[in-house]
Parts: sequence; structure tokens; C-alpha cells
Amino acid sequence: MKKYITYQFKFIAFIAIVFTLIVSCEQDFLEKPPASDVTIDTVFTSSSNAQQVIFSLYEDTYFAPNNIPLNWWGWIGWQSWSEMAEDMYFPKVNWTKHWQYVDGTMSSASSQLYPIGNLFAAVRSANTYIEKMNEIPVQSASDQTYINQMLGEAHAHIAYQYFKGFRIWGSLPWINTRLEGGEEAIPRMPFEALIDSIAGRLDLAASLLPEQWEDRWTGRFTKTAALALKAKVLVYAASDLYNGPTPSYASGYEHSEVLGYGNYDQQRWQRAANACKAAIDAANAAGYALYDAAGKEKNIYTLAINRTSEHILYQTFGIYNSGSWNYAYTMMNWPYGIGWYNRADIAYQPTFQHVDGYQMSNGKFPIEGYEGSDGTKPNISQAGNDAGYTDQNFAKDRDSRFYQNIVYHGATFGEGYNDKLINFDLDKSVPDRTHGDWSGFKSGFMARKFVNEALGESSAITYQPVHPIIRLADVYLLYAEALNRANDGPNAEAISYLNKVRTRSGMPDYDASNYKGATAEEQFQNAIKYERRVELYLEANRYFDLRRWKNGDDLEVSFTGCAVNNGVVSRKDLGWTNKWDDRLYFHPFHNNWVNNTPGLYQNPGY
Amino acid sequence: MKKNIKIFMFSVVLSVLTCSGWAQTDSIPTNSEELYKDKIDIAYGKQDKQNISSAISTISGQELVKGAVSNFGNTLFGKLPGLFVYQGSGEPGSDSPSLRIRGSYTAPLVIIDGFERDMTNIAPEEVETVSVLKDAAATAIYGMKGANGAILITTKRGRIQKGTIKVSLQSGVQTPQATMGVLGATDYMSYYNQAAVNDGLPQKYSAADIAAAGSSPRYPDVDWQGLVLKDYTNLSKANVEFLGGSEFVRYFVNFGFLYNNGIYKPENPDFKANPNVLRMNIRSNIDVNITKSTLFSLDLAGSINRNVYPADNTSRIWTSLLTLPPNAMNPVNPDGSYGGSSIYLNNPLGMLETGGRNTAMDQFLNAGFRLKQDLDVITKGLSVSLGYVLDNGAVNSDGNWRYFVVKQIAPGTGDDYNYYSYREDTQYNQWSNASSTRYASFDADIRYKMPESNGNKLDVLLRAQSDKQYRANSDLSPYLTNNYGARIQYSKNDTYLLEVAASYFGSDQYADGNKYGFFPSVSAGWVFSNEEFASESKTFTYGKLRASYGINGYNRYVNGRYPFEQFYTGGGGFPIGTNWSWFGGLQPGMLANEDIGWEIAKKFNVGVDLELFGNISIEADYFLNKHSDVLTIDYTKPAVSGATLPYENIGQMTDRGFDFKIGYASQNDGFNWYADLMFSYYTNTIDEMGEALNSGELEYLNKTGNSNTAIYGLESIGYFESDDDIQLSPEQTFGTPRIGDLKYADQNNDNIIDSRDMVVIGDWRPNMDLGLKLGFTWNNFDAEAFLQGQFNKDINLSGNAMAQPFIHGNAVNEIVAEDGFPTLSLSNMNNYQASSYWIRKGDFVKLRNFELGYTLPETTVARIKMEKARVFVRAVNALTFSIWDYTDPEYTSIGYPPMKSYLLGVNLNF
Repeated sequence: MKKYITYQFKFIAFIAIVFTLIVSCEQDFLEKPPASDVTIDTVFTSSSNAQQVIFSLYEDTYFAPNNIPLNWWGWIGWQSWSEMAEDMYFPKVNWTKHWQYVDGTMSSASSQLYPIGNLFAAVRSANTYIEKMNEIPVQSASDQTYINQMLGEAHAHIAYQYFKGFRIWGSLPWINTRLEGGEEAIPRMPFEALIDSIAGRLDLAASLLPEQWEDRWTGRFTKTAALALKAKVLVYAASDLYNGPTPSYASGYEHSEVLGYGNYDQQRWQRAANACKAAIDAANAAGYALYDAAGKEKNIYTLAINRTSEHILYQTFGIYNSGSWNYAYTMMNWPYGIGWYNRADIAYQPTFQHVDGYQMSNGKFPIEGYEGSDGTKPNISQAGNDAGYTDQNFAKDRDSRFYQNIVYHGATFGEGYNDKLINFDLDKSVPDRTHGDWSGFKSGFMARKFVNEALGESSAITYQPVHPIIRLADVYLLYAEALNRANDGPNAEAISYLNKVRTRSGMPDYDASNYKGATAEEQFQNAIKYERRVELYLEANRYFDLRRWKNGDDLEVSFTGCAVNNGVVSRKDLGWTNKWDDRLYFHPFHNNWVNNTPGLYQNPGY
Repeated sequence: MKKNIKIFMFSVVLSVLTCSGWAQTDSIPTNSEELYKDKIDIAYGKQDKQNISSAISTISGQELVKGAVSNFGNTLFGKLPGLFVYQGSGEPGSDSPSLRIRGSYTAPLVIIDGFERDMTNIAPEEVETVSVLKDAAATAIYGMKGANGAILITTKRGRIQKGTIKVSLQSGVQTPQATMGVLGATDYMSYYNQAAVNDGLPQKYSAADIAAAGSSPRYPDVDWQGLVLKDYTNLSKANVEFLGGSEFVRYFVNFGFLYNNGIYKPENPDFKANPNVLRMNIRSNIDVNITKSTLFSLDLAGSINRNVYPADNTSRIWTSLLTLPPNAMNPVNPDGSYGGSSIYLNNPLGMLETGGRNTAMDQFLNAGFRLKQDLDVITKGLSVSLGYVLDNGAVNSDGNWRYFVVKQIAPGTGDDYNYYSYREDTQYNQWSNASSTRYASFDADIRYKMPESNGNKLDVLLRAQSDKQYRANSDLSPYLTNNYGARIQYSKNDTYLLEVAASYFGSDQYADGNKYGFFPSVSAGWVFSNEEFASESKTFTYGKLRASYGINGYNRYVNGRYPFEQFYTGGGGFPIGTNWSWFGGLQPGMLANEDIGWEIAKKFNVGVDLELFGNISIEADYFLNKHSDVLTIDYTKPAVSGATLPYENIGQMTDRGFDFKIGYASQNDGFNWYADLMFSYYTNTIDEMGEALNSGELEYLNKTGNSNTAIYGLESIGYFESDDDIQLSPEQTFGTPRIGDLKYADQNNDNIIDSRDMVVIGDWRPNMDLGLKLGFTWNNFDAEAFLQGQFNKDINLSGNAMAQPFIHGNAVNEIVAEDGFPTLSLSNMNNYQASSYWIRKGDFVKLRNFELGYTLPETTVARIKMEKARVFVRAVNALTFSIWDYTDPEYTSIGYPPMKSYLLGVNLNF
């Protein structure tokens, strides 16, 4: 018995010792290794770390204007606002999200071109900077200045995100802190308060931001950019969609305060005009100017592929060589058989209606509408007849921007190394044709704007694309528009700013008699409408302009193209109609967002 | 009388169990005494089968060798009840199947010789047994790793016997299990014209064009698969095993060799891009008795894989093979250049001949050391052991790739060809990469096996283990875990069984104070055939009832390491400044979840083991597994915060089902036959997944409550029959519908068909698995067939380019020619939405292996100094029976198909 007890004791003691040993040497085994991680506490330890939070806001995901598609994959590449405007046939319709915007089937189950999650993610990053910037140890006076300048950028980015958001959906919940990611129910802010909040942030930003950044920082928000954005926001807000009674299709909508002011007040136009003037003054002071160095035939083409003195806010890209798929816009819009690109699948095909829209070089319109809105039956105007317009010579004597925006049958292409004549003849027996007989190439036109012709020479040419978000000509036109509306007609100042833009492209001064309209105000408004269409082509303005003017009906078009058979030009119906429905003035939120976000009221009609 | 009542009650209980579909079965063909005295591999040990009360199925390595081709996982089809094996691709080097135990949503733990290891590189010949641990009791001691079940692989070890040498050689051919026929040029052009007319476009091909198909390079008619794929390719295996030992030292040494060749035909003499695997395995398990009571084991296992594959990825090669229009281009133009066009740059011939090649050289060395000391001096039955394992892996890969020019014949006539050319020949780009992994583990255990007294058996295990794993070269945060475990097994008279096991397990994945969890289990068994009342039963020669319950954990690494902190990661940024310098941004990662923890599975199992009439064995189990704390994102939270929401322990799922095995073995001399039937079934339900639930009319959109492998899509309700039909039907938003197009059900009656009309239209994972083994021996002949089937499998062709003619190019001809195929179109996507039309029944039964062997008479082999000589023919995956016969039912995506093989071999024992 005694022996048994001894054994038992030994046994227990042994186990105790072994386990004590094991446990004691494993004490700290599961500790996380010393951190080389970046957490919020390490980010805000110096201005050079913290600036990376600001840099991320300039990333394409948040910052891009989405004016043209860049490639065939990735969320940013398959879609652009230009596809939704009425003057572009986009053959790869089934491939992109833009389909539902133009075929009338937009619903709360549709995927969004600009996901609202991106908007709030950017706002969060900006709010984080605003919240944490005081913790950054200040190294010097210039460091303090830099930290404050970045505060200005943070405010400007918040405003920019809400600008992107309200023109899509109307007002949104205004998030001004870094939320915990929990249970907050923050309702959509009334539209009026939202506009004031945005404007307030931009005023704050303008007071903090530099006039111009030093060379290595060029491209970031400047004082002028903040003021120009404010001008654009206020002109949008003063426009008919928001500045007036709730649209009739939305009558009975219980949250109409998120859609607009609910009444008309002309003072809003004056406020917008003042903001435009302030932006223009700031631009002048900071050295911005309309670009005019390439000559009136080339100014617009050149500024679309280069950064110029006119670029106030713009999206930049990395350095790509011409063969890179990361910026495939060029090769997707390239005539066949010129240079080394040989793709036949043309992405962007302007319609004949768009071509018809250009004035002649004398400032008069050759086409004044269609028989029963059938694009194949144009009504040639008196001025058109006087100038001898026929479809056969549609490209004769047009606004210089026509030649810079569009590649057409009879144009030249590949300046400097090829100078080839564009030949879109459909007859296969015609020699030297410059399209690849691709069945999707239907409209008979291609886009030239943003296509850098120099890239065709070899696959090794490098290129740095730049897409404007706001450029000075845009602000001039906004100013002219606002003055016209604030004063019930154009004053000399309004006309002079419109003319600055026209003169730069060699167009004659504004002549009210060339425009339709019962009043001087309407005529001038139509001049603005024309000017924005051709000047800002492919810059993500057309779709939003037509909506803010409540001209949604203009977006409904049956596309017409240009067919050339053995040199003979004819018009053809492309078999596609872009549809419009008033509820598209305010796009839907996705169902999932409405379900989990109290206060994010769905827009009317969805 | 009393006894009879008891027997009667038993029969009733058993019948109820069986009839209600709970009961399950399992068998091994030997007589009961041997069978239930067998030692079964359990977690960290072996146990007499008769004393097991948890749910474990086992198979010997010998069984697996028969179905073995190139990958160990592919030997397990249908062999073990409860284990589901899902076939992958057939490409050499990428042919691992995926494994699931009892419907669990993720892969099980794989333990080789006591430690967590990858089964890809093990050779079947090295394996002694494979056990599947199915219930909580069997895996409780694995703590946070056991929730999805475990597969336990034990390699062979030396025995005290005269040294033997076993040689096996086999060689044969393999070919795809199913061929995929795509349209030829004549059909393609005819269908194309039809589609164009449907679209309101002129016919593209004239009758003369169609008639001319294949007549000249201007009218190509290319059978890409015929051109690029061989009819069959070769496969060889060899294995040499040395096994033996004495009291002092015992050894098992094995050398394996495998050459598995790919199916592509084009060869470039400079480098062969045809995928192939050359693998050598070496394993040496040595046991040495250093003293009378001290055992030292040294296990070394190495494998070297040389894997060659084309530079162009498999998916692109097969997409081209299957979807290039047969008339689009010549494989090779008359001038010797590769054919192609602006849209079709991927010429498969060019890709394989000149596109480049990659090589990956994988080297693995696993080393295990164990010292075991019997401590009978302290107490009889007490022992301790210490183990240390160091596994290293290194992958050195390199390759080259380039673009090549393709040319299209310009319009014209006659034999004088002009060309358009696309892309340019570039130089080869060279690349290389090296990576490595490292796994180290230390464990210590104490065992006490009480000497049996008065029918009481007690077995106690206490153990501790620390693991450290580096998954990449420069991994600054190795994966660390600690496991303290205990298990007590008690039995009385081999009749009443009780087992309690638990683990206290910690992981560095969780915040301080939250790292450790406790995972207990209990199981009990009753061997009723040992009771007096049943001892004379001729029917129940053996019978056991068992039940278990326990809590397992799953240490899931979701979205990276240390989720209890929020990290900023590089992302975004933009080129800036007058010289466009790139400046990177920093973006906040997922929000921290300080409370994050492991996932939990609470498992209940009841089972029965029976032997009837001495030659029928049955093993049957019913299980109910409740998964909770499953990591998922809470989508009910408002997202206006702009933050990336963290994973939280909120998900819940339920798996339930049953599995059984029935075995029969005849016991005659001369002709002996045997049969095994395995069956497994489960259902899965999502109980909670953090979904922002729709209420009211849209409630049917909720995924909560469905299976986690459900397929969602539109419900196809026939075809549009007239223009009126189209006008009156809800608007379909996927392209302009026409007569003959698919018509979908408007689930929410909003008169629009869109993603809100998506409902469950199928389930892609089969939940019923059947295995049937039949075999006999007769004199010197032996034969065995193994059939395996999977049921309730839905094939989803939505989005599969092979089913979308002209959208991506060519398509599988059976699908296009199918009665009821919707209106052809060149561009209309209406019919190609995810819909029930594209769901097809994929149930199948395959003859996984068939083997016929002849063993030479002993007298003959003795003359040439051999113990045994056997020749055999073996067919693996030779036959497939399925309603779905357009492609292989298990592999319907575009890629390298699974293979069937025919082998001739010999076994020689010296």
C-alpha cells in the first residue's frame, strides 16, 4: 500500500513538473511580433506619412471624372458618363454597366457607375485627416503650413465627393466625423443645407490652400480649384432641376427636401455668378489662362492630351507606353491600318446627330432638326442651303472643334508620320480603307478627342494622359450662364466670356440670331448649351448638364450613323434608341444600401 | 423470457434507427474477431476498434494504391463514408481535388504522422492507413483546428521481421474522360447566318462560303482540339519499398517515382511546353530502441517535383481551343506564320509552340524526431514522449514568355496571299522566383495506460504542442498556436465505453485575453453483443451503439493577420508634380474587431457498428453539426461610415445527415468474393449570415435559410411565342427579347425582370456520395471494381462561354444543337443570364478503378528467388454514366479536363 502511494505521488509530481516546464517556456509564445505595421497611430506621426492619406484621395477610384472608358476590365474601365450622353454610339453595350442607364431599366438592383461606397470611403479618409491632423508633430513653420494646406485638401475632397454624389442621387447623408462603423442612422441632408455645407467646406479649403503648389506637388487642389469647384456646385444648384418646385414626376415624394430647394429663387443664380467671378479672379491671379498656344485649329485637341495652363483640376495617369493596356482608350479608338495599332473594334462612335450639331465656321447651324425626329431625314437650314450643305460634304467648313473632336470619312490622321486619308468606305473593293470591317463599327465616325495620334508611330512611345475635371473654359461658360440667368438676359460681361471661349477656337463672336429662343435669355442659354456640347465634349459634362437643365428629353435619341458606299455618303439608322425616363434625374440607391441604412431614403420612382 | 424481451427491444430500437434514416454503416471484410481487435488510428494514438466510441472511418493504404494515378487526393473518391471528394482539373501538377467532411463549408484538417501537413506530395505507397475523424469526440483534442473534421494519414513503419523488398512498376496511357466537341466550320457558319438573320442583319456567309469551308486557306475549317491535343499521353510510376527490422532497429524506406505527361501535341525542340510532372518521393521511417525502455524515431520524407507548364495560362489556352471560331483563321498560314486577327490574337498552336514555358521545381523535406520513454519504473503503463518536427519547402520557378505576330489573310482570290499582321514578335522575357515555407512544431505528451484489472481499462493522455509556421520567405508574422490537450478513455469489460477529451487551445490571431479557448467533448459506447442476453445471438455477432457530443473550434485566418487591429495599407496614389512622379497613398484597412475569435462547431453524433452472421459488417452514423460564430461581415450595419466593416463572429450554419458502410466478405476457400457499399449524405442551411434582410414582398431574395452552395438565377418559364407575348410580359432588361427567347418569371411582380428576380435555381455541390466496391479472388486471379457516384449535383452553365455561341466565338455543338436552345443571336444577352435553363442535372456514377491481377504460382516464383510476383491491368476512371454527356459531369468549366488511364503493372516481392 505504501509503495502504491509513493508511485502515485511520483506520478503526480512528474506530471506537475513537466507541465510547469512546458507552460512556463511558452508564456509569450503567442505574442504578436513587434509591429512594423502601419496603423492609424503611426500614420499621423509625421506630415510625410499623413500626406499619404491625402494622396489616396486622388486615386482614380475616388477622383476620376469617369469621362471616357480606359480599358476593357476593372470597374473604372467599362463605363463612363460619356456613354450615357445622347451623342455617342457605344457598340459594346452588353459589356458595360451603362446599358441600364440608357435602356430605361435602371432600378434599385442595378450596379452603379460610381459606387456610393467609394464616396463614403473617401469622405471617411478625409475626415480622418481632419480629426487626427492635430496629433502630427510639427517640425517647422513650413511643416505647419503644409499640414494646414493638407487640411484644405481634405475639406476640398469632401466637397468634391458630395458634388459627385448630389448630381447623381440628389442630397446624401452628410458625414462630418470618422464614424465607428456601427449603428448610426444619419438621414439624407436637405438639399439646401447640403449645398451650403459643400460651399462652406470649399471656402474653408480656399482659405487654406496655396495659389499654386511648388513644382513637385502640381496636380493637387489649389485655391483656384476649390473656388472653381464651388462655382460649379453653385451653378448646378441654381439650375432648373434643383432651383424650382419639386419635379412633377416626384409629386407626393415624402422627402422632397433632398431633391432640391422646392422653389425658384433668382438670387441663387447671382450667388453662382459671384462664385464664378471669384474663381476667375483667383485663376487670373494664380496664372491660369485659356490655352492658345497650338493655334485655333489645334487648341482643343492639344489640351485634351497635354496638361496646360487651363487645367485647374484634373486626373493624372502614370506614364504609359502606347502599347499599354492600362490606358487602352487610344487603341480602342484608332483607325485601322494607320501606324502600328490594328484593332478593328472601335469603342466610341459619335452619331450623325452629334456631327449635325456643329455650327459652320460662320457660326450658323447647317441643320435645324429632323423630320419627325428621324436622324436620317435632316432639315437643312437656310444657312445650310446658302453654304451649299449636303450630306456628301458634311465636313466642309465646320466649327474647328468638329475636326478636333471627330474622325470622319475624308479626315486625315497620323500627323507627322503617316498623314493618311481616312476612308470608311464599306465597299470591300475600295482600296486603302481605314476600318477593319468589324460588324460593331456602325456609326461611321470615331472620336479624335483624347486620342493621341502620335502614339501610332511605334509601340514604344510613352504618354501621360490627363483628363480635365474642371478647366478654365468650363468656368467661363458657367459664369456666362449664371450671369444670363441672374439678369434675365446676357449682359456684356456674359457675352464677352462666351466669346473668349469661341475666339480661342476661331469661331465668330456670339450672334443671338443664330440661336433659337423667344427671349434674349433663351437664345443665350441655347448658345451656352451649344458651346458646352462641343467645347467640353467627352469631359463628363453633357449628361449632367442636360439633367440639371431639365432637358432629359434630349437624351432620348434614335441613333443615326454615316454609311459610305463607293464614296457616296448616306445616313443609316443604327437600330438603337437611348431611352429617357424622368426618374433618371435622380438615380436609385442600391437596394442593399436602402435596406441597411436608415435615413438613406430611396429616390422617387424606384 | 427476460432475455428475449431485451433482444426484442433491441431489434425495435435498431429498426427504428435504420428506418428513420439515421442509421449508418460501414464495414471491413474480415471476420469479427480480427476486425474489432484492429488498432485504429485516432488523434495522437491508436485504439482498439472495439473500444472506439467516436465516429471514425478508416481505410488501409493498400486499398488506395489501386485507384492511384498521380495525386493522393484522387484515391479517396467514395472510399470513406462522410468524406466528399470533388474532382478538379486533370492538368499534371494542378490535379488536386477538394475535400469536404460531412458538408462542412471548408476543407478539413490534414494530419500526416501527427502533424498538420499537405497531402499533395505524399505517395499512396507510403501510406499505412487513412482515417477520417468525423465527430467532435474524435477531433476535440485538435482544439481550434477540428471543426471541419480531420483526415489522419499514417505512414508505414518497420516491423520485426526479415527484410522484404517490394517493387511495383506500372506504366500506361491516359486520355480525357470526356471529349468536348465544338462546331465545325460548316455548322458554325450556318448557325451564324441564322443568328444574324434573327438579329435583323444580313447573312454573313454565302452558300459558296459555306460550301468552300476547309477547301483552301481562305476558307479555314479548323478542329483546334484535334490539332493541339494528343489522343492519349503517357504515365509511369515506380515504387520500391524496403521494410524490416529487429528488436533494436526497425525501418521502412520507400522510393517513389512518377512521370505524368500532358496532353498537348505541339512541341518546340528548344523547350517543351507540354505540361508534365516528374516527381520523386523518398521516405525513411526509422525506429531505434536506444535502451530497453527508450524509443527514438526518426522520420524523413522528401519529395522533388519538377513541374513544367506553358507560359500562357491554362484557361486562356482552353478558351481558345473551345471558343475560337473554326473559320476565323488558319493555324498556320501558307507563308508559315501563325494565323490570327485583331480580335483573335490567341492562336493556341503559337501559344504552345512559341509562347514560352514555365518550370517550377518544388522541394519538400519533412523531418520528424521523437523520443519516447517508458516510465514503468515509476508506474506501470506510464510513458512520456517528446517530438520535434521541422518541415521545409522551397519552390524555385522560372520561365520565359513572349508575344508573337499573327497574320490574317487579306481579302482576295487565288493562291497569292496578302496579309494583315497583328502584334509583333518580341524577345523572350525571362523571369524567376524563389519562395519557401517552414513549419516547426514541438510537442510533449504523457500517457498512462493503466494495467487492466477486473475488466477496467483506463487510458489517459496529457499533451502540449506549439506550432510555428512561416508561409512565405520573409514572413514577419509566423502563424503561432499552442495546444494543451487531455483525453481519458475508460472501458468496463470491453462493453461500456466512455471517453472524455478536451483541448485548451490558443492562437496568436486574437487579441490579448482572448487568445485561448476550451474545447471539450464526451462520447460513450455500449457493446451490446458482449452482454449476456446477446452473447448467443447468431444474428448480431457484434454490435455496438455509440454517441458523442462536443465543441470544436476553427482558427480561421480570414482577411489576413491580427484582425483585432486596424491597419493602413498602401493603395491609391497618383502621379503628381511637373515631372509626374508617382506618390503612393495609404488607405485604412478593415476596421479592427477586438472581440474577434474562432469559429465554433457543436457536433452531435450517434452511430452503430454491427456484424451480422459473422460476415456482414455495418457502420452507420447520424450527425447534427451546428456551426456558430462563423466569421462574416455584418451587412446590416449602415455603411455611410465609409469604413470597411470587419469580420465578426455572427454567422450560423447547420449541417446534418448520415453516412454508412456495409461490407460483406465470403469465407470460402478457392473462390472468395467481397463487397463494400459506402453512402454519405448531408444538408446545409445558413441560419445567419449578416445579411441586410429584405422584408415583405422581397423576402424571397434573402439568402439566409438557403444552402451555402445554392445557385441563384432567374427562373426560366419557357419562350416568347409572339410579339404580343413580348409586349404583354414583364420587361426583360438584358437586351431586346425576340420570339423564341427565354422568358423569365417576375418574382416580385414589378413588371421588370432584373436581379431582384433571382431565386435559388440549384445547388452546385452534390450532397450524396456513393461508393461500391466489388471484388473476388479465385485461385491465382484477383479482380476488383470500384464504382463511385455523386447525386443532387447541378451543373451551372450560366456564364460558361462554351454555351454561348458567337458571344465568345465557338461553342459546344451538343448545346447549340439542343432541342429547345433559345433563339440564336450574335449579341443579345437575354438568353445567357443566369437562369434555370442553364441548370442541368449532373448526377453521375464512375468506374473509378477496375483491376485484374494474376499472381504467379509460388513454386514458379520461388525458383527465381522471389516471394511473390503479380501482374495486373488497371483502369482508372474508365467509365462514366451520367445524364449529362456533353462534357465530363464533374468538370464543366473551360480548362484541362480530368483524365482516365489504363495501366499495366507488376508487383514483385523479394
